[in-house]
Amino acid sequence: MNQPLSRSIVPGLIMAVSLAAAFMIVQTITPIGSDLAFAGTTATSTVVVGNAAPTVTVVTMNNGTDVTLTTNTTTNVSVNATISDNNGCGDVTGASASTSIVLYRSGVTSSTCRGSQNALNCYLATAFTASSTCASNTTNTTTTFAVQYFAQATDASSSFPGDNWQATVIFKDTSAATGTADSLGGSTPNVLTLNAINVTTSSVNYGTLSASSTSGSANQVTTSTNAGNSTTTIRLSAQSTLTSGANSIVTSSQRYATSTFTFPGGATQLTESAVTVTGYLLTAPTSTGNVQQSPVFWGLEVAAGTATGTYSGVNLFTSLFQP
Amino acid sequence: MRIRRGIVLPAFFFIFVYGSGLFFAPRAEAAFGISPPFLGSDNLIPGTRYVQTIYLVQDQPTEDLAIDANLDIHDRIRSWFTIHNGNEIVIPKGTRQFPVEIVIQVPKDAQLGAYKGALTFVGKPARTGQVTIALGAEVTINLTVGTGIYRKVTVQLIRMLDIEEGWSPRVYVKFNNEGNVPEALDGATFDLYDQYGAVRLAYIPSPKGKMPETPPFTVKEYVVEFPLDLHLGLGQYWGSVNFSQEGKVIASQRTVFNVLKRGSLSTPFEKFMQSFQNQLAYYVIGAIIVIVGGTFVVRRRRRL
Repeated sequence: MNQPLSRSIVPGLIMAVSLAAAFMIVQTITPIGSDLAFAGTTATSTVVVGNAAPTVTVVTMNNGTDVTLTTNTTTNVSVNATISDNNGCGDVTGASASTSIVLYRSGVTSSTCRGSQNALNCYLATAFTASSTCASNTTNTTTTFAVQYFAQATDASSSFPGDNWQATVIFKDTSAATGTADSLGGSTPNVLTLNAINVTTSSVNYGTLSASSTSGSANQVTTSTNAGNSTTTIRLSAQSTLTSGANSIVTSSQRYATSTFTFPGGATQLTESAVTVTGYLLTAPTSTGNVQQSPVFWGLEVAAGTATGTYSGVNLFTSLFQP
Repeated sequence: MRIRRGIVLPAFFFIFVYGSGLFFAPRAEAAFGISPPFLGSDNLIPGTRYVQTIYLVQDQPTEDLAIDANLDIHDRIRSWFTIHNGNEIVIPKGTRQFPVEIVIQVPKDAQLGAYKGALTFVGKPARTGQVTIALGAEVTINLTVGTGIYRKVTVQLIRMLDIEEGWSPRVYVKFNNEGNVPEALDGATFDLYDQYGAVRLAYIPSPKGKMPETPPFTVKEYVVEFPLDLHLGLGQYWGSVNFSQEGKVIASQRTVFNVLKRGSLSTPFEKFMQSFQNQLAYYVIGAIIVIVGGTFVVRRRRRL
């Protein structure tokens, strides 16, 4: 019974496999739906790849830390950002791509800052440096700003304790589509208050005075300027009294005033401990060309019996923050 | 000729007198200052450790600059203060911003109240002329020791880190605790997207392990790892991370990160451990085959 059955099945199987193989060969050469199968029919596929807007992410100012300024000069503050464009690196690095990076005190806002800039609270750059090669449609960028020493502070004791400093990066790809992002908001990073002065003379020279005489109306002048971003006053003291070998001139023999005087006039006697100079205030600069400077006038009395010699000492100017 | 001499000689004299004044005019000296010019907190409680950095700043660091630090405070609180750099500081030549770290350790039995004082930094210049001018700057100290709890935290920086094949996504966090009690982030989520940021590949609801606690008045930097049961192939991915505290999202970031070749980020020790981990499976399988094979042989011999 089995043998006749196998005899009838086997040829059938061989036939079926042969047919399937033939079909597969034909299908491989001329698949169904091909031009050969349906001669005279054509189908054209077109697709327009549209422009994807770029994306700006991870805008970071000064690595998220507070900015400490440097007296009398600028301090570099970096703004980092990541720029991506799904149309590829050509859209990021293309010659017609453009960028605006603004660094500003938050109270100023990025839109205002883009309109007009000043060294107190708003800086603009129009180019960045790629800090990585563009790969997988993305590049990392860095922009460095030279922030002036009088940029407005935003820490707790400043005039803007509710503000912080922020950065905004606006990027336009080669098709002028825009991506924009701000650095993290909140209470940081701040520009810290910098209290500093610069005295434009390194020493005071009274010249030659004989014993039992004074400098009279011949005042010596020291001029101080504000080298920070806060209002400051000064405190004066003798760090080292005038000495010549074993001989000395008492500290109180030196006098100072904020206006010219004929010794002793109304001038204040110098002391060993620091004393705040009354009425002396240096407000924070508002630009490099607007730096307040104020003089202090000095006079000296050489008491009778003072031995001859060249006397030298050190006077200390201490800056004191005035909130 | 007489007329000419009469003009020329006074002219030379004028140039000599005023010109020398111009050429030998007192040069602008270096500026000196401090940032910030205040030290302390209104939110101290007994037992608190408060650390603040004051920068000594100068614009012309052409020489080493010797500085004395003088603390002018009540003797009762003097022991609370430590100036890490000591009282005699030398700012090295070439340094424009010199950090001075001041630690205030409020004793557990400190008397509640407000304390004031000053910390003065005074330059010690080389002597020039009759009266040399030295520059200094004064830091105002204001401390208030009370009992009230003060809480304030900020996440200053979030950065998605590049990882190696087989690693889980990692996020760098810079956490600033400005309050007077320890704080920690208590929740985080991570969404993983493809290289175009279009298709979400995974959602990781919480990081591996508990996030670290940050002591009062301290900035802490750490890396949070989000465990992923998915092998990420080489390439770029987008991640979106949210950090929360007490159920409220307080910081978030969405950006790209890269999955790099194995071994490109690891330290030598990590590489060694990874190679061991990779081979461990083979060692285990080999050991099982040896044990099973050995057992089979032993049993067969016993039967014989």
